[in-house]
Amino acid sequence: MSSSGFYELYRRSTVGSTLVDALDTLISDGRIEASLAMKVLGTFDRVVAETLKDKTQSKLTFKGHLDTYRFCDDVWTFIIKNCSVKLEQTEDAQGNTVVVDKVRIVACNSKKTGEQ
Amino acid sequence: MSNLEGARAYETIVESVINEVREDFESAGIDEQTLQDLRLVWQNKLSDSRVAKFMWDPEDEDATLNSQLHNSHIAPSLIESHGLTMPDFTSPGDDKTSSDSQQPQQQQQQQQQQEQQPQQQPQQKQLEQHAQQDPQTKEEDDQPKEEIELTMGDPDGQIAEQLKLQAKQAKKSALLETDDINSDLDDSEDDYLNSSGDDDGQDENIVLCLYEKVLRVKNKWKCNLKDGLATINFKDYAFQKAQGETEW
Repeated sequence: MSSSGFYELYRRSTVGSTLVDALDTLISDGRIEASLAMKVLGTFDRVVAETLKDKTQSKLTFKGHLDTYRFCDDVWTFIIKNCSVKLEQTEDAQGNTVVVDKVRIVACNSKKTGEQ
Repeated sequence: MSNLEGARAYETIVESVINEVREDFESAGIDEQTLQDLRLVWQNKLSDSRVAKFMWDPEDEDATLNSQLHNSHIAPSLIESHGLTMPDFTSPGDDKTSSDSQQPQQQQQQQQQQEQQPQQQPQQKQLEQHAQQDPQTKEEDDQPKEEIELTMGDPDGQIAEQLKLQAKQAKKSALLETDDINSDLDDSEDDYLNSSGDDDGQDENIVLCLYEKVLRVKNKWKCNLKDGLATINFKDYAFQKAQGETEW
């Protein structure tokens, strides 16, 4: 957890890694300092947490074979094989199922987010 | 599985982050243009990832499609029609025949353009599947196979790839180092992921979220998750809540 009280795990998502790439480009071009990039990432951590909390309504359900589980540093990691994933959206009720060979789930404790 | 909400969440995140760091940019003496460039690069990289359809996507794609059409087909057809109209000015008496012959031609050109659009999409898909189809093409004809072997054997290609990797690592080092200082959590996790030997890189299906409850009864695990971003089959989804039932 960063000093601002928000998890950094979403930096691994597509929207996070593309931001890191974009900031890297600006740094290597000498247009911004790394310290400013870190501030941007800190803001990103907070914005993602708030957006997911306040702006999403979808519900996801999944079933499958739990291949690996681990609990370390208050982080759960599950690797689920033959996993069927279903997304139910409130707007368009086209919830249908996708089956994938393997899914990795990385989950931080919800109790600490932004409450420190 | 539709991922409208995922796309909308990403759009909101980009807008909010750019707006909220404006002050940081100003106090660091960085101009607005750099901030807008950051937004552009970020949006383009998201579009390239193809994890969702974004509102800034369609205009870009149409623009490239149109420019391709202009370059490849419309421009030559314009030249051709100019060539046809030139005799009209020299011999006004032939007006009827020339205009009659021109109209079907224009229709033909329009038809060609209309046919061209659906054709281009399958071509793009073919390009995407190119890697998968490689073995097939090798089997089908022998001569291209020889060419492929030559380029594979070329040591320069390998060196170039290594250089690319090195450049990538060097580029990322600045941000990653600061990451390490901020959280040993990421460190230990990465070690775990690497040591477990199933590190699929960016191709993997991954869900990043928070957990509310994780319950186990014998070999049955139930978990309640929330506030998540998921990448499943190269598409990204956002969810408010998630429930999982798995057996170990």
